[in-house]
Amino acid sequence: MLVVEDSPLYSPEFFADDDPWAYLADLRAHHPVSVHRRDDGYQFYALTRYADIYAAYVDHKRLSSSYGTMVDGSYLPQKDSASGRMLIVTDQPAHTAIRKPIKTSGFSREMLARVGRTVRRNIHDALGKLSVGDRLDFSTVVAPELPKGVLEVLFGIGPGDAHRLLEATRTMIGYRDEVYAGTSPLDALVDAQLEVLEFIDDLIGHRLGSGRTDDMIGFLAQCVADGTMPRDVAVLNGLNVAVGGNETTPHTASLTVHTIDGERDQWRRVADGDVGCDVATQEFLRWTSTNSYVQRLAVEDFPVGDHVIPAGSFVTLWNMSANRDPDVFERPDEFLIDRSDNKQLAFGAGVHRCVGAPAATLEIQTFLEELAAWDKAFAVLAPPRRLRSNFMLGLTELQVEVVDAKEFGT
Amino acid sequence: MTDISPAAITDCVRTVLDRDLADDTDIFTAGVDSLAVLRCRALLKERTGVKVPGHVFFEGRTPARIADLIGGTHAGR
Repeated sequence: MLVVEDSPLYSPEFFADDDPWAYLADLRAHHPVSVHRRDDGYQFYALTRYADIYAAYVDHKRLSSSYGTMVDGSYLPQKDSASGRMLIVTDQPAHTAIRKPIKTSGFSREMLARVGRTVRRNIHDALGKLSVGDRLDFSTVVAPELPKGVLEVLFGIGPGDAHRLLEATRTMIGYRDEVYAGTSPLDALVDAQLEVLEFIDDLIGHRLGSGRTDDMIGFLAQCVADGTMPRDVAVLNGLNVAVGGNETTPHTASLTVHTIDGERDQWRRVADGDVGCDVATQEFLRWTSTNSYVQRLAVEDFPVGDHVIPAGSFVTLWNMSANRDPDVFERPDEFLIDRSDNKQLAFGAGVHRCVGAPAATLEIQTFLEELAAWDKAFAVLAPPRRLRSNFMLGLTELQVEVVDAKEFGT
Repeated sequence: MTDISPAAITDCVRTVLDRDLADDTDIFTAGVDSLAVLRCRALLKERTGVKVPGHVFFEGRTPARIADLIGGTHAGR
């Protein structure tokens, strides 16, 4: 088995400035299971084939989520301090007990309908403010509008508070990027995390007083009031939803705008109504693969092909590599806006599949619908600045100019 | 300088964790996590009026060191 010392898969710079897609394609073709070491002794196994990754996702008994789902999210061999209490780092059966109230109160059909309306209004308003000739950084001006509407509805807060929460979660996830965290990254991470926890704790406190239960925070507060959920658990899962929602779709939206600029002929087929926005959404999700990997810990020996990953090992599941696997996708390295039967793994699979996936998909599809209906378009002015992270593939700057839609793609 | 003493911090941690500890106990080894920091900070704010930045707890780790850091921060202003 290939062992890579000082592996680039740890390096935020490698993901921002180099070509991780090509590196992973090489692993996938020649070393579908490999070991990646860092000089401090940390090591993980990397799975790069779709079939192996899918099998790993659904084997949640042997591959635990309790030890942190990102490298450095926890310290071997300790469990994450929120394990057993926060959805993303909790194994069965406790996982289902937390997931069910979140799913029914935050992502029910009725809540999704409200989310869709709010997201559409926000995007419509943001696009409506722009004139031909305007120049702006899409990643900071428009992209945050996508999750903002979700927060407004799920947390029952106004746009101003939603914006404040977005800034804090951005610092938490991007703390290794000085754009967000300045020069004291760990201090910034800690302070931002506490700010989010405090904000959500205050929200729950208010709801305990008012008794309003018509959204996710209200429902969680009710669970706290009737004793079915400890307050700390409610707060931690509010944080989980806020971070999971905020730190993904804005990046997907920015990468989508960048992709459209380079594929104007294909985009025209969506704008003209020849390709459905639902179909295009799936290809944008596959192509952007915003969450590049997740980590698990093997609590028993875990066989992959001819190899056995020993119990006690960290295992990383590379979504971005699965989404370019030629065994599953024809012409995997091409963006095909009308790709059919698209089995993209951007949200993972199995019991831990992203609980907010329906909302995220709705955000991207609504964004595409509003873009397609807009009489203008975003023309990219300069190469974007990529987020310095191996965990989230995104852009921290995307300078665009607003142009007439008729001139775009000709 | 502020009037936050190591004893004031120890007392808050003791209340939140519901266990005894000394001024030189590492609060994270004693079981403090982010949520406990949140509760300690709220108690300190209630009792002293000072909102202590979260990273000060993680940098100081013991009530004595945390009090030092708070004093130093405010003295430098």
